[in-house]
Amino acid sequence: MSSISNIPPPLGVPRPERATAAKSANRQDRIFIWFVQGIAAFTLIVIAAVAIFVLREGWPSFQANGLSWFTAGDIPFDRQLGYSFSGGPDGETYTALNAWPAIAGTILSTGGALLIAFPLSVLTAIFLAELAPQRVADFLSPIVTMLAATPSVVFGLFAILVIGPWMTEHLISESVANQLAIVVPIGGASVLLATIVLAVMIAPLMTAIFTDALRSVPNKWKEGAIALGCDPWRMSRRVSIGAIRPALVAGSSLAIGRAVGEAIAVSMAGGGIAFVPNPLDGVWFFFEPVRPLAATVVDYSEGFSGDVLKANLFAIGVVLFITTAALTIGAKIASASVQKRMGGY
Amino acid sequence: MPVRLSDRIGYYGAWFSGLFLTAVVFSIVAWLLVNGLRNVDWTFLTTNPAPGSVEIGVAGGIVAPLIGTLIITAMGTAIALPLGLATAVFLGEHGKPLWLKQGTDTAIDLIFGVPSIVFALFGLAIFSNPSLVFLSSEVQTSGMATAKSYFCASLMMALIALPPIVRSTQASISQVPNVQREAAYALGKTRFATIRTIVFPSIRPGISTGTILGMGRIAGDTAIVWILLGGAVLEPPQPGWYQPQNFLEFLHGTGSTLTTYVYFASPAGEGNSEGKAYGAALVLFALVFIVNIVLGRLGQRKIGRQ
Repeated sequence: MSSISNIPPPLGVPRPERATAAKSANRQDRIFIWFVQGIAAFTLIVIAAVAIFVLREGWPSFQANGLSWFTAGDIPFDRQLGYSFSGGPDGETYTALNAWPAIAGTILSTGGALLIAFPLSVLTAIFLAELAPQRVADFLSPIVTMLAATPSVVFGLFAILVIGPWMTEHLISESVANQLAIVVPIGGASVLLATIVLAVMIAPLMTAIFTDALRSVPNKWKEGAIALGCDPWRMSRRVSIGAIRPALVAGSSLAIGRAVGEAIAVSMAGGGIAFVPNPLDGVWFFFEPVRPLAATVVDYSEGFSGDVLKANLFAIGVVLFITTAALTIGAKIASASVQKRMGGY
Repeated sequence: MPVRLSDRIGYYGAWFSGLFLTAVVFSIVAWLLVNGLRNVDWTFLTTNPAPGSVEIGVAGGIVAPLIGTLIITAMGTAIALPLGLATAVFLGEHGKPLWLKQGTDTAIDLIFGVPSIVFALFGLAIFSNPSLVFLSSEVQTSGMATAKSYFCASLMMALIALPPIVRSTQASISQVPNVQREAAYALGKTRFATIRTIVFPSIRPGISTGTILGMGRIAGDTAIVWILLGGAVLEPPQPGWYQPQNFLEFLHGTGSTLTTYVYFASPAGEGNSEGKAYGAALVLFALVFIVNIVLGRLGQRKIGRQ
């Protein structure tokens, strides 16, 4: 057993009743340790069970499609999902699924959100940690935290009721919309709107992580830069940002995971059609609808009674699980190297 | 003031970004307040949602979703708190064997990183098993369980509230000086007694911070509720649901929370009633805000008193 149960014996000659007391104390401790070990093991079992059960339910979808699951198909993704619930055109069981439109939607909206939110977060973190007067930083930090705690459905509502209609009214010309309507309806609820919502959601998360990392950069390093004549901005850029590079990786991976897994806000803002926006459409690319993987699960949640559709949706769950788990592990490795870097000082 | 142009751009860029994020927060709050307050009144808070009389739309108020949010948050936190405390004590105080410590550590990170929609799918997969029918109710045609009930949703909600509770508690456990523990051992206290009387009182603020973060995650989550509690937004609970003999049955049934109500009433859902969505979103935001700010202050005040 561990060292905890080896409680030092009381001084002097242990009287018999004393010894029994120590023994029962020992037993109490042993039970307590078993208990916390058991609970800890339980969390391990739970996450393993999540992987196993979701994979087991989704497996038939991968089995039926193989690698073409991840490719683009001739039949639109949404129609395939509809067929898989109610039977194909001739009423047969329909197992084919080509999920590329949803995968592309996830990649576009998440990548776009990262492009917007990453520079914004790095600059905000530098502002909060180094540039802002202490009182301003003390006032702003909880506000950023509050943005991080805001329920995603509120962001979705803001997007679909305020930004979306504004974009429809001011940015989209009706003639182009009519022209494109035979291919896909364009509008305010679009890949651009989904990207904006995700960017607003992940920016505070990244800002919080980056600010913490910047504040933990050893003072000696910063003072060295200041002594060499750097102003706070130059010091942040030359010294601090270099030092927290692993934290930048860790924070971004967590943020990507959050964006990939966000279902509701994106389902509200994305336009609800699994379409791959076409860069050849020029600026209208941004106003074409998407429905990423996670939003697809929510949008089709009425259809779990159909076995094939259920397997398809669970297969999407498997892809989400593997992606986010890999990002989490990546973030963990990166932040471990932060500690190693700063720990020496 | 930076001299070089690139430095100046960066310097002003940083100021701009900081103020821009603040402006985003303030504009969302202002927009919610202006549009929400127009739709929130006493009737809105005290009547049940109902189908609108003309067109498709939502009428009535939000009392059922509000109760749903409170129940789910309370039940989820009640399940997550003991689990989270035990896990944090294991990670922070014991941590042996090493493989279990590292495994648990990774598991908590994974539970934090994996999106709630995956947990909703997991819940659907296990709770629809006929042997777990006691958690929800039976589907007449197939003999499977519906996997839609307050129990099912709360159990999965407990999972997403777990990581903040564990991490926050663990962080404050590591702040407790070892001298205090050693003094307790030297007096012949057991490990358990030391944790209970020496460690626990000083980590209470950390526990409350983690719990608040966890509660915020539960109250703000939509995906788990949508799949494991159902979208029964317009079905008010049976009259007298709160009486002891009916309450258990109520928890076995479907329901809604503020998040699913907002989703349902938004243009993206079927309800399509902007005003109701604004009102419910404001109430939801206010709940999360109050929990974060007010309880956060209370937790900090405890430190001051000690």
